[in-house]
Amino acid sequence: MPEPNVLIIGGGVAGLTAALELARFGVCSDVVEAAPFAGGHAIGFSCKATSVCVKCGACLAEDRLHNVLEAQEVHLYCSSRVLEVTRAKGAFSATVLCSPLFVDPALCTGCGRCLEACPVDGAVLRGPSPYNRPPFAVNPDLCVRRAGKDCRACINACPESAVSFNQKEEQLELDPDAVILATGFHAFDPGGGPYGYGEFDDVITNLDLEHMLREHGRLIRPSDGSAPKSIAFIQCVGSRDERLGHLWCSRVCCGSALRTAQLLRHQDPGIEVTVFYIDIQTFGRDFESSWKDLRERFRFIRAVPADAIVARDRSIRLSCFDPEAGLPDTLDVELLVLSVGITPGPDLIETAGLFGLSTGPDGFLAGPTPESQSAAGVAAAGTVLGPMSIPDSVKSGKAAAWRTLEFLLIPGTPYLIPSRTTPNKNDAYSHELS
Amino acid sequence: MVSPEKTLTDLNGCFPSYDAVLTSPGGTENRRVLGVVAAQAPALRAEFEALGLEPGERIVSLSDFSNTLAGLEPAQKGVSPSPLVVFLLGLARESRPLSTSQALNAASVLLDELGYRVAVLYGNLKVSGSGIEARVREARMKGALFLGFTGNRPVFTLDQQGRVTIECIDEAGRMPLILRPDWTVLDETLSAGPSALYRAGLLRAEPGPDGLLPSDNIYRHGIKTNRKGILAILPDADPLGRDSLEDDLAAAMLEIRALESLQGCSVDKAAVIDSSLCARCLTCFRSCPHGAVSIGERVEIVPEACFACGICEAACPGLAIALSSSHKATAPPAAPEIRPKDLVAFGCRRSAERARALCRHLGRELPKGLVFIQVDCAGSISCKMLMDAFLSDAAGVLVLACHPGNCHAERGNTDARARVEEVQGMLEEIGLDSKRLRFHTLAANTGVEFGRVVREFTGALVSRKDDDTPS
Repeated sequence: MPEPNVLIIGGGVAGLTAALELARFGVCSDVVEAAPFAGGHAIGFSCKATSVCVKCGACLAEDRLHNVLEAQEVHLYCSSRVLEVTRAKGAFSATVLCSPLFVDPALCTGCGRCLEACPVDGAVLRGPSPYNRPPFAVNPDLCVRRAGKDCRACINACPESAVSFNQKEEQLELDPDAVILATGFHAFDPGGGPYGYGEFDDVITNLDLEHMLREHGRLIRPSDGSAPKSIAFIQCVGSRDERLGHLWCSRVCCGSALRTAQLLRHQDPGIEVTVFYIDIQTFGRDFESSWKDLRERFRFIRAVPADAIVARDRSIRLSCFDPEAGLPDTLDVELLVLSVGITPGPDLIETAGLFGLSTGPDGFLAGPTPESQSAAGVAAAGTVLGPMSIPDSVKSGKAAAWRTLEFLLIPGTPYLIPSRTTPNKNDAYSHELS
Repeated sequence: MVSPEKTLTDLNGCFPSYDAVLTSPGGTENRRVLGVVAAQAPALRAEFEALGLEPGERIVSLSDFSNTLAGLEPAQKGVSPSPLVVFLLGLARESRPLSTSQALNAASVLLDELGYRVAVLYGNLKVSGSGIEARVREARMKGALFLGFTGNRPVFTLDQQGRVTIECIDEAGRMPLILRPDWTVLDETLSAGPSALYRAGLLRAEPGPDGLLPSDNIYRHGIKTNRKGILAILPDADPLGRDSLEDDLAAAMLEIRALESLQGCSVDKAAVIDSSLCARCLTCFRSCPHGAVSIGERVEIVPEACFACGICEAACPGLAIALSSSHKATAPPAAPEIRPKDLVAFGCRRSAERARALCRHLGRELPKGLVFIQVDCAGSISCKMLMDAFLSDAAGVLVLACHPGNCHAERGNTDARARVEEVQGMLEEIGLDSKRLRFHTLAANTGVEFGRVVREFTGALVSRKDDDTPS
């Protein structure tokens, strides 16, 4: 009986969850991730807990990645993409191009000396998590060796001889029995928009804020490195926007902004927080009571500011019409955060096309229905289907794994799931692999 | 097999064999089951009184209106104005995307087929569901009036015939408006109701803050509970309004299949009670967050139902419980030796250990002389382990657990905090400074925080030592 094998495109929370769930049943998977480091957007996020967990789910990304390292059934290929997929008599053939990371994951201990030694900013990349393999990688686009220079700074700095420029691009030929699409989303780029993102230092996105909190553990005003005393969030940047044709709510940004606001207030009780919003969307199972509390703690203005300018004292000035007061208002803040929306991935049409699937009116993957996923052996998980939270992406990954198992279990096909024959490294009874 | 009109009235035992008692009008019946999936319907309630309204023939809940929609007569041609239906969303309490979706479905029938007029008055319009925003725009294009309220809420008055008058100010245009709807339709909120709590108690599964199963502990993945074999589906109550019932069912099927495949498998790691030391005090039964302790002739831990968190081991006053591992690979690494003046940190492997790894990965320095002892769950840290560290002359001891609400074992973190407080009391009693023992909560992705906590504690220990130095 051939061992079933599943191709998972996308190594974010949903894709990794699907891989882990399949591993529970002894089904092997090849996870193809485009970025040099797996974990998706969420692996760059920060915990929002105040004195208690606020259920943002960011730590689930760390958890997925950690567990994937321990699961022999999961093979992860980073900096890789699927070039071609064909299907003959139900069997898939896929060609995957793996670009080199120039760091040997088996040798790298994650000491980071390559990064310290590198003369070029951004040419050695630090993975967001210690559970990335390898945890550091070389970005060939910025490395000076590309320009023909024989720089050996990272090679010489590495005590393990893990850095090697002999690594070459490789093509993998896979014959998966089923496929899961989990290519995730693209964050809306507010550059060139009305709020001066990319132009003013102190205008950042919610993703920039996540990365800042993860790496520094506190809020930093980019222009001078100080701790901002006032911050404003503008919600729905790139979502619910008719002019852009983005007729959808990104679902996660209200929760993200308000959980972050609570964290910032927890860290600095004096910080002033203002939230510009259209409608606050429910997040958390105790939303009703937490929303009451939030309204008292922060200033909420139900308006979309027209633009942002830099005032003479270098603060960011926002003008709006406050509908509650019925008056125009001006607000100066030291840091402006744009809650950018979830938009479909730029390559989604192409990727979907490989499997004869298409995108819907909003540009996310249309269909496939749960039934068709089980019938065709092509399932989908996570934000490729539309905006969803981290915990929902986990559930979506589980659902996709089940639909794939259903396909592999169809009577009369050779894909019967083998019973677990080898004891897993993780104990089979723990929730660890789930 | 569907058994209508049957109620689960008792559940004993644990995975893989629960003893369920099903009661029906015909009597009771015992069943041995692998597990239970709780798919409870939450209670729906339209809060008319909160808006000063009384339910009536033309003042109805959204569900009732949706159900009677098919019976409505089309608007008469030539009669002006045509009937007005006003939907009230999120004015009494916060609404949910499902209500928006229901209202939009009804509005589309009213506008397209019946020729009615539609107005939607809302607090926060919940649009975080598939296609809702696009459908709101569509309804607007077809003439539905959408009015959002922030501060000034609409005022409802009822005349003697029970007709509603709504007076409000349109916030966008600052115009006073009066609406006299023919139908007033109010959205509903969800609540657990007493039966849900009863069910949670019967299943010994932790509910979420709304009283519904499963809990919102993110490690339950919205489907599992703290007990093996007890799953829960929360129909149409998804707070994010994703049309996720299909996903819930698929995830439940996956878990059931996994539970089935676990039957007869050898258990890698579980807590075992040494019956010669057991005094039947039942501390383990009370402390086990997974309901894995069975009380019979002997008190036993059912290995298949055990999560190997070690909470019972730490709680057992007779030291009668130990975790046993059948595979060498899963045996914990030998605890590092504690030398005098070391700073000892006991940390959960899921939060503190990962935070430590991240701290180092980010290139942050950690104080030398930090001995990190990884545990499966902070709840497994016993008073004895903490006192032993001080007996080894540790300078200070840190206990690092998951944030409340984030523990895999539900309460390992709060148990750890209680133990720390208990041992702090003991330290004071024997004349040691209780500030040498500190408790802190972390998450896997709080690497910087890990470094800060350790540095601050080291700093506090040093300054305390300086204070002690006689001048």
